[in-house]
Amino acid sequence: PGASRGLPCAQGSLSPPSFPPTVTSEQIEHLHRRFKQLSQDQLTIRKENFDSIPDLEFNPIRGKIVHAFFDKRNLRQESDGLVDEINFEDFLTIMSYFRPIEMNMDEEQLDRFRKEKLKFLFHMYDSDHDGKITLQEYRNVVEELLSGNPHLEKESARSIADGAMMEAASICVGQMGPDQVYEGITFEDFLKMWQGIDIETKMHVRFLNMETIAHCY
Amino acid sequence: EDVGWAVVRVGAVWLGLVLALIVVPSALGVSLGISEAYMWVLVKTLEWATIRIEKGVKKPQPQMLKTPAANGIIERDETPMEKEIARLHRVDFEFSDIFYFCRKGFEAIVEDEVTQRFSSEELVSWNLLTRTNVNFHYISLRLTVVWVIGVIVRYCFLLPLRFTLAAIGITSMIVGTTMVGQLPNSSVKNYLSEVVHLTCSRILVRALSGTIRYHNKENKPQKGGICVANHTSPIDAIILTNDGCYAMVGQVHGGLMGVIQRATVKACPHVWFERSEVKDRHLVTKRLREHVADKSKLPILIFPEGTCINNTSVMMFKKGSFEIGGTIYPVAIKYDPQFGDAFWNSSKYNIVSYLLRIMTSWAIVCNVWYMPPMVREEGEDAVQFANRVRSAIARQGGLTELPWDGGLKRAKVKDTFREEQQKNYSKMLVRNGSIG
Repeated sequence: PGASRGLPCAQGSLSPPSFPPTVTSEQIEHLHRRFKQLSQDQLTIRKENFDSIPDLEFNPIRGKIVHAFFDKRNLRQESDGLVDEINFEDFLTIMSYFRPIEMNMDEEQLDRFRKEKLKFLFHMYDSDHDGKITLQEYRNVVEELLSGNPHLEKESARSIADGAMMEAASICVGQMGPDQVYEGITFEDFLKMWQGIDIETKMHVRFLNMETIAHCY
Repeated sequence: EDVGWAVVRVGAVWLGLVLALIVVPSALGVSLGISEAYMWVLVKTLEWATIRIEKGVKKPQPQMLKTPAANGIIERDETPMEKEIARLHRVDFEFSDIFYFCRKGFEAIVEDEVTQRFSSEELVSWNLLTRTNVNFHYISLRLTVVWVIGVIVRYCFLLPLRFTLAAIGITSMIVGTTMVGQLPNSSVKNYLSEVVHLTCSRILVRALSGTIRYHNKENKPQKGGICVANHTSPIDAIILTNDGCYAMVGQVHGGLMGVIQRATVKACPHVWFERSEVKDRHLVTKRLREHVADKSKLPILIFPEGTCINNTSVMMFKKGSFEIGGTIYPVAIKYDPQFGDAFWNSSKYNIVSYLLRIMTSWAIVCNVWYMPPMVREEGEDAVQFANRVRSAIARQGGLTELPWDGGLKRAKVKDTFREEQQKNYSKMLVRNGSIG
């Protein structure tokens, strides 16, 4: 599998076509140890293995996060749907969506970087994989985030979702006529919504080691 | 036949030496300085090894030493949820809010505070044991030779020695306590039982090549009190009984452990519970309360975490021990992992392989701090009291504190925790006037 994907994990760099190669071998070692811990020394991880992380249980969108690891679109596979288990390479592929930006990136790389991260988020919302975030899908996400509060009725959750979708529609399509139906947010619309907002620094996990200390962002 | 006699003679000489040089002095509480010499040689060797490893690494880094795993490998942004989400608010909600939860989720997946407590602490530099050779690679021939010598010394010399000592210690414990148990209850019996327990503990500590430093001995637990300590391994009990006598609390086991338990309870009023009794919390509390109320009885020894943690942090203390009343004497135990890892990962190793690992380590080095007694204050409930004691122990031992339950080693987190987070988030939304 390593050879066919063209990812030389054993060496100090990951170079899938769209990402610049700057993951250190130390970081890969750390992640590999973590992988072994999660998989309990097996070669692959299944959804159940994520149950053993107590900190993750805290998270209201835990389901979506775990789901994202098995989503074929995130794993850059041609087909659609979910896989049952992932190996270490797949694990690294998903983790690479959360890499921090490097100092030596040019405009084009930064743009691609940002698009990849936003695409990852988009897939999280678009649960039926049809390329659009519909009102119902959006409502699902809101409900998941809020379902713990007994005082917030379902109606309120729906109205929050509806309000947000309307605002999104106004950004993407402008004023809609009374007969127009907004089908859903496509990826281009999604990108439009995030123009000008700095998400790269919000969506990363930074490793501690001697090298990053020298960089001083 | 000659060979047979030779073997018997060698065995006798061996046993004689062991008895003379180790057992008798330890029984008398006297030190011949052999362990000190051994430790000195060990420390010098490990220092030399560390220097060689540092020299051998070709990377142009200012410092070789890695950050200890206890502090984590990823940078965490501790901004509370409210602030972070307020910063992102441009579209009113979830589109941006999901960032915060997404990132927290990923951080948890890369590294979580709890799971890492159930595996052994990582070392800053290699201590010439294969089992800790995780990050370190081949450096030089000299280092490898020293390592090979180390293996021979540990497996061919130390292991049989320690095994002999352990056998002597356990046998004398069983025999001694049974004999003392025959006596009628009196102060003589109590005195003799203390002598037997102390002596056997000392022999067992030598069997592990234990070097223990006790601090603040003036705070040692008194009779009628409760001694609580953090739990890292089954050896903890021996470490503490090396310096004083306690009434142990625990479940009745089968096998060799059961034999020891049955023998010792005749000489000294340890509190052993049957499996069925353990489930009944009131029964347990009642028995312990009766024991504590009797001021002439030895202090009881409890490990409130309930399971072995890897000695980098102190996890949740179960409140049961703090409901009994009486004076609590906290004790902090911190092992030095450089010489031997005392942590028992019960999901990975069974007790026999664990003991084998302990006996083939260099030594068990630890510090024990006795802390001033604490009592439950007015208006404090058992949980708050437990947390107060726990903070004190963590601070003294230099360990971090985690509010999580050690039972997470095997069980899942309760749903109530997740619901808490959801409630907080939705409360925030309501406050921002996002509804109706």
